[in-house]
Amino acid sequence: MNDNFKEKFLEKLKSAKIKMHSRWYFISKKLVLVIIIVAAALVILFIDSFIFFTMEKSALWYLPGFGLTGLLIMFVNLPWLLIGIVVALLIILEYLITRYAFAYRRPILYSALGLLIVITAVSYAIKVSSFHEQIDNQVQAGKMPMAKPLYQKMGVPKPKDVNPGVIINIDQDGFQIQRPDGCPFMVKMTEQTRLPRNYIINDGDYVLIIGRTNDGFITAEAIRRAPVRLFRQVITMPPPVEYCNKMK
Amino acid sequence: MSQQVNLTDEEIAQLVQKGEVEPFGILVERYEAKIKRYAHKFLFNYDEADDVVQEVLIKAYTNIQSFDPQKRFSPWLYRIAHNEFINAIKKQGREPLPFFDPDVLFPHPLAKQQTDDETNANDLREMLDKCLNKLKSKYREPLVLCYYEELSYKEIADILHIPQSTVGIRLKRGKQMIKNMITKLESQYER
Repeated sequence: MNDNFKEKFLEKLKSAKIKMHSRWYFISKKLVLVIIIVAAALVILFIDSFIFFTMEKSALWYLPGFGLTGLLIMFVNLPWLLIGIVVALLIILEYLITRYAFAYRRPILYSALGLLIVITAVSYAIKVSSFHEQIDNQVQAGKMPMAKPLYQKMGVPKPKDVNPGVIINIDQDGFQIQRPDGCPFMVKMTEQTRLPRNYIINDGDYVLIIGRTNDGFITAEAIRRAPVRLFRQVITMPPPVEYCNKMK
Repeated sequence: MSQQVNLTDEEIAQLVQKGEVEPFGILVERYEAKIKRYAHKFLFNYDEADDVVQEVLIKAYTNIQSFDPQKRFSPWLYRIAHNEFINAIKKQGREPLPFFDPDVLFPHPLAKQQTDDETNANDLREMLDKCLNKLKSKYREPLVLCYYEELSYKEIADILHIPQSTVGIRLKRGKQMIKNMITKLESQYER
């Protein structure tokens, strides 16, 4: 036993050069960590649910139904910047929670998978609720200008060659649709156009069309029925002709 | 003071938390040698190992309010020591410390706690004395904590903040590496 070491050490402690941190110091440190974890989780939930929302709004969500072509268009048009932010925040969140025994006592794979499942489930629940829809409506009404860049620009994929619409007129070569922005479009069908088995096109059907737009025509490569919720913003009165011409 | 000697570590820590400095001396007496051994085995060749030990005890005192008396004191103190030793290794820059270790990522189902009998443990300690410094820090540290400090896998996991199964796999690999080194040394000696 080295009494000398102990005595010198105690002298050092008593000399008041070494001060004990207060209990509140540690409580506030723990609190700050919890606040950072909760804040990171909320930001992730917001962005992740927004990704789901925007995928549905831009019809990306329904593209896997078109097979490989649809999957490819979806992959190219995914909001990669937002996905990158979510992944980075998830890594930070995982790093923060591994400070707790429940996380570090088990392989990281378990806590990471658990985190991913919880975040995805809650994000999906938020997407199903009308949370983002309400903000989007506010943004479109000119309110909430701070949310405008996210909801109308950087966050919204605009997949080329993907056209949702409601069928308003059928003729010999194809049919006419009204898109969610209110513009009418002619859709040409060819022998190569793929349709779901036993599907007969009818007036008033909500459809999703993959096909190139040329001279105001969409040459349909594939057509699928689309869910009505994709058309929540259908404008009953067509917008000005110049706007629609520009879109063609 | 003489009565305090019979108190448990956790009871003494509680007294220190209430503002008494003297009882901390008992904890210093109880752990000085252990932390020094841990430092010398883990931080081999580090000139300032004794200074680091002092730093560990100072950190333990300044952070004593963060100790939960419902839990055991020794893993808490060893955790502080581990952090200080890792900082010392980083400062010296003599050996690389990986930022991320894939061992902590996946489960290792076969890595359960093994009980070596006393003879085996003594043999292993002898082997460790010869070759410990040739091992990477990630294998060296659990071996020191298990065979010199005689801590359980769970306690080592709490000190190193890694899964228990990772402790098991590192000990298993570390022991195998030591055995291979000894075999190699013996064959060289025989030649």
